[in-house]
Amino acid sequence: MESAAVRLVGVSKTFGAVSAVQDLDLVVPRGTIYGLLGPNGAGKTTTLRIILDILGADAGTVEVLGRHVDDVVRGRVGYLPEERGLYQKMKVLEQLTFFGVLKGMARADARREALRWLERLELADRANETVENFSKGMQQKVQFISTVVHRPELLILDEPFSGLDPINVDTLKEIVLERQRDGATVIFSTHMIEDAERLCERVCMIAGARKVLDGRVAEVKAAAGRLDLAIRFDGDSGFLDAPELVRSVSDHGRYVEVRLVEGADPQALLQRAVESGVRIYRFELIEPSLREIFLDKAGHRTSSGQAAATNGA
Amino acid sequence: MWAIVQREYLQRVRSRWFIIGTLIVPALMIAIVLVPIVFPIENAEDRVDLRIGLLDETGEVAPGLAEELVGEGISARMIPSLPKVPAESLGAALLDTNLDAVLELPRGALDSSTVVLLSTRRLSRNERAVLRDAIGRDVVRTRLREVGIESVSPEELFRSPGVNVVELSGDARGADDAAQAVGIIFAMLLYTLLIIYGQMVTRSVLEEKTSDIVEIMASSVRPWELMAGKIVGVGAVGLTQFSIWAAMGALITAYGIAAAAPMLAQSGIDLTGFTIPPGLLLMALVFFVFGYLLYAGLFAAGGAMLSNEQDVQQVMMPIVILIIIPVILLTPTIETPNEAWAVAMSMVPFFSPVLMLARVSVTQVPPWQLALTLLLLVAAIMAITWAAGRIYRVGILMKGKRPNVPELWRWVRHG
Repeated sequence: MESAAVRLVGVSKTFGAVSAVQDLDLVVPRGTIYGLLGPNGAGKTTTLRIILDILGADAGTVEVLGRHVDDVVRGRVGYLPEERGLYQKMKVLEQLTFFGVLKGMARADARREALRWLERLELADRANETVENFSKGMQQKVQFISTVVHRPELLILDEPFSGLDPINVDTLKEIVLERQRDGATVIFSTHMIEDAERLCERVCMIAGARKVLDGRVAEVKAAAGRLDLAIRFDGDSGFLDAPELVRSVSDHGRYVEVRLVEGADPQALLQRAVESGVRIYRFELIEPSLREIFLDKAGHRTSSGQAAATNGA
Repeated sequence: MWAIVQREYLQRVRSRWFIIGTLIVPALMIAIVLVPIVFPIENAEDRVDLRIGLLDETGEVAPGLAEELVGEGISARMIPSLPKVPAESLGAALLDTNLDAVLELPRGALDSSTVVLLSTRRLSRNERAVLRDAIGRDVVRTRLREVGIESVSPEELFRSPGVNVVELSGDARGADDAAQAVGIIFAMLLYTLLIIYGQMVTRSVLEEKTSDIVEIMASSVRPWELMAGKIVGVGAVGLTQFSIWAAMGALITAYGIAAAAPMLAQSGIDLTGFTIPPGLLLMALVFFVFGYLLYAGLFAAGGAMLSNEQDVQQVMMPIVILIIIPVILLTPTIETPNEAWAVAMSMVPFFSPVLMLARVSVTQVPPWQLALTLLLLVAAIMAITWAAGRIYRVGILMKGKRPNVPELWRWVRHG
């Protein structure tokens, strides 16, 4: 079996008296888009920095792309930090080539890739200008390129969508999805849980330096033990009278919302409905949103945990 | 790391600042050499333009003295007596007779210890000296004539031989003025370069911090590589600039000395054949490189502690003081390069680049002292770079408050 893109086991990090990450286990399978969720100060940035070996963990083991972080791994990872910066007085093409070379590319390759990206993002005619004259949006595009110019196998994005204009949000999503189609793994952190819900296959939620839950988004939702059904039908509602499957039913007029008993199979209810002879117009699983699950699980912890976790990590 | 070195180097060497700085210094050197040659400055102090009246009651001194004064470019003529006016209007009366001063030589002047010069204006130091020497020579000549010796001139009589000091410990190179000057120039140059390029390292580190680029760098290379890349890159810029200056300096001195030789000869300085020994140049290079490496680590760590430009001076101060101490000790060290304290200080790592270089240029330093100094210096470079690397690693990701000393110590311990 192929090794995970990232594997953390029992990782902890404290700054002075403040615990930023506590006993974190994390496995990011290759080829997934993985969301690291949590409120500000939960320890997301610290976790990402530990994965990148920018910070050393106080305890635990870190494995990236199947090995301990070394120069080879660094060259295969692309990082877009939350605080984004460029050399203001350096020409764009030179700068991007430099970042490529820094990641172990040959100068000519780096230059060619950088030019290709600049063309694609419509900055090619300004390749020989310094960044200081660029608009914020253009600087952001240059920043994206610097993250992917070396075709990283693992992309780590810290709060990537904060501060972007809507066009750049789309540009970045496009780049991220394209990298994933090419087989890359993408990890991004966000406090905007809706972003994660749309993009991620798997998530890890942390609050107050601790992991609250992780797994496939679908599994997380399933594990929340709250599986609701929206059913619209014509005919007798008698099929809902099944206490081994249905916990409660609420009528919304055009449809009913059914909360199932924990562990019940929606398929069984569908079968009952079909057998009872009603006509089904809609039979839909409505999952609780990640936000609801998160608030459910972490609500009591964030109140005490957030105060402890400062450092903007 | 090579990419970082290259970036630091090219960004700086291509900058306007570097090109201007590199050209201005040789231009200044040329100016310093050329200006006195092209426009010989007439020093007001040096000009002697006097009209003297001689009132000689001895009847023996005046003719020879007049000749003596005319030889110095002073017009001198005999006057029979002072104008018969009250003392307070004597000055005006003298000016009317077209004289600046009157020298009174009363009877017995040859035996007395002073003679009187009545002057209508303030005489410059140079004018007084010329007059004093001329009068002295003539009085001595007159006395010699009185005792019957006329074949010897006073100059010959009083000429003393110059003393050339030859140091016998080692080669024949003595601590002459030229060697001292070379020692001071090298030491000051080293000091200047350390400060300029040390600050450049600090600013380079700070620039990456303030422009939020350091995190991307830290995800791509190890912190010590980033630091080493900066130090080497900036150092290479320094070496480039210094080489250009040194080459220009050598050319200018070579042609400058040749051009200025006649003038210098007039002042009794003979620089023909003066060269800087190649061994000394090599030592200068070694101490430049090692001194830079030692201080660059400190300057880099200093930059990593900062979060904004305003604090730069505060963090630099202790480092700059470390560089200034040997400069304060420079002159006494060059005067007495082999005193115990000078030897000891010149071996302390933070001072040795400046002080040992100064000693090497003025005296023969025993090989064991040189070896020990270099050994200590290399050990210090390794220790400082190690500690600086740890401070750097923690510091570059820190924002806000500058760390205090206990915090720094924790950074070094836990890195």
